[in-house]
Amino acid sequence: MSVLQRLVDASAQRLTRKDLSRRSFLVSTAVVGSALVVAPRKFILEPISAYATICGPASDCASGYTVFCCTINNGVNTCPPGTFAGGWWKADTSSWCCGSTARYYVDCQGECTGCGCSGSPFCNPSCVDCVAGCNGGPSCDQRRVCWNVFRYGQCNQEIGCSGPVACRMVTCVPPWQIGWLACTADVATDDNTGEHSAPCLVPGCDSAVELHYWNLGGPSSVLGSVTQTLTGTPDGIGQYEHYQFGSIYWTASTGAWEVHGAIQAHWAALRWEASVVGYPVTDETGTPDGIGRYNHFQYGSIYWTPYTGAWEVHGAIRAHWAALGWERSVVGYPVTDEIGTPDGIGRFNHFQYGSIYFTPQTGAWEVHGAIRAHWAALGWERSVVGYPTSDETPVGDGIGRYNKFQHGTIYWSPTTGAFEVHGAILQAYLSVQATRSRLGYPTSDVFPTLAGSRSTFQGGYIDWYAFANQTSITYT
Amino acid sequence: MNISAGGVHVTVPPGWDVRIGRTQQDVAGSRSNLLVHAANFILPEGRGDFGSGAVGLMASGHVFVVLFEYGADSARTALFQAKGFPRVLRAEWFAPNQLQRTLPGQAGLQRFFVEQGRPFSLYAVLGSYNNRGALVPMVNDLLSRITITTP
Repeated sequence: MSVLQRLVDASAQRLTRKDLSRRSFLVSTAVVGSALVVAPRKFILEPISAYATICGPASDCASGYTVFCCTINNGVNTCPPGTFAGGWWKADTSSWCCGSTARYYVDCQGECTGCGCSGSPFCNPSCVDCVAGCNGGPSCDQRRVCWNVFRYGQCNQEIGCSGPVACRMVTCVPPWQIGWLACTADVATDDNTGEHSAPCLVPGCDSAVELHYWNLGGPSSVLGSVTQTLTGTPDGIGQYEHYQFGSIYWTASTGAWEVHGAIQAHWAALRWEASVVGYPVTDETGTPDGIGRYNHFQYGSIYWTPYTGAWEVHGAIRAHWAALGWERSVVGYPVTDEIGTPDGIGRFNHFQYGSIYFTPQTGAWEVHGAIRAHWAALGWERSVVGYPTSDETPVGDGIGRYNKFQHGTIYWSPTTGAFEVHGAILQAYLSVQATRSRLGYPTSDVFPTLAGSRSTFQGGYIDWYAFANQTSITYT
Repeated sequence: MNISAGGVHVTVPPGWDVRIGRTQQDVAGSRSNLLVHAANFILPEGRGDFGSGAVGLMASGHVFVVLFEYGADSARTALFQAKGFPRVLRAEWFAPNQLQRTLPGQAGLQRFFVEQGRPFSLYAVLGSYNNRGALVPMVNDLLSRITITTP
């Protein structure tokens, strides 16, 4: 039997005492489990309690140190309301931060309300909205709250009058690199605090999810504090953690990546990893134009801007959008998810300045501008021309543009506007080299006549006679 | 004995241990500044910049003083609005809760100031609050022996 197994067995015997309440049992098992995760060698080899292993040295009130913010701030590792970052220090010898070189502490000072400092940098503690004392409750972090009247002084130096230190938050990136803390880069060091901790700060470092979290900066990252610890995904192939402001998802084939904010909300609405886009394969990343943000996923992407919101693009439509240049393409950012057409055949995404339509028979093509507007007016894919079979293309005369469709073409020029030509009239138009002929650009859609149908052009018209199934071209 | 470094000069009182150095460098972009520790007892190694590791060793007759410098751009901020090195501290200004780490019986005081355009924090710890009447003059004697010039 291994040492670890003996330890677990001993703990189990202690925890199965009959006088142990259900809550005590749960708390105790969590503490022992955390101790084993956090410092298994220390917990096994040294005569210390699980609590001491988690909270580190000098965790009682008499030791004189300040409590951790997450202990008194509903588990959230940040300055609570009514406090501000007053200064920071680092501990180089810390075993926390999953191997980072240093752990950083930020003191959260109480804000003085209703009175000044009169020659001292500190106001009377009675002017601060927190009560000085020792932290009580079930946590082993019994350190002092709003007690120590002291300030490291590198943060928020525009505030010259402050109260005592309410609590301290921790970060694995230098505080002066975290903009909202408003700290200078003047280093202070106190290695004696390196092993101080609290149950709400217990990190795992054994999974790719946890390592990525700490590489991003841990609680001081864009994700915030842990709200749901490492959990398996329902499909059995992934793992994830949820945080205040985002999540990290991992699979063996995709790696661990963060998703947060509006993109996370949209991915969640699409059913997370069970959605059409699958697991993330990038962190949230800014677009080159400085406007948008995106995550790529296994089978698609979600793009967001403050003007368009967050929408997914996947499959052949995404591939064609990518070929066109993503958000820098003529269609811009997506403004819808991929949607099925009413006929059950096609799929499309609308974008800021156009659309991409797909069917298995035609492939994916973009339509935009006046041609798209005219196609929409004709009834989109239900119109006489059907689905697009080309992107918008220049005619070659430097003037006009066209999209080909399954059953016709829509031509556009600045002087004529956009009109469709289809069927036998289109064949006749093409036979005389279309826009390069004396007919020029169409000036009407195909419309019915008593004998069949007609399209008018800048330089004439083409008639189709139904009784003879023949066309005639008339130049004017 | 006189010691000086970085524009800080100290005439060391008999029996005192005074160290003038710089704060540790951290990752690229961080700033290392002047740091002075002075005590009427032997300073241990492994001290925190504000005395953690040293204050736990203090007896009732001991005092410990820190001068911690900040970057010059801090000199124009509200925190450093006080001008001039505070050389005379009063016993009633010290309190048991004015400490970076509050240990039983001790008392402390902290001031932020600018001297010669250089922003500093002065932090003084008394080994005994009850003995402050005798200890504060020892702190003031040390402060009178410190001169700050432009580096």
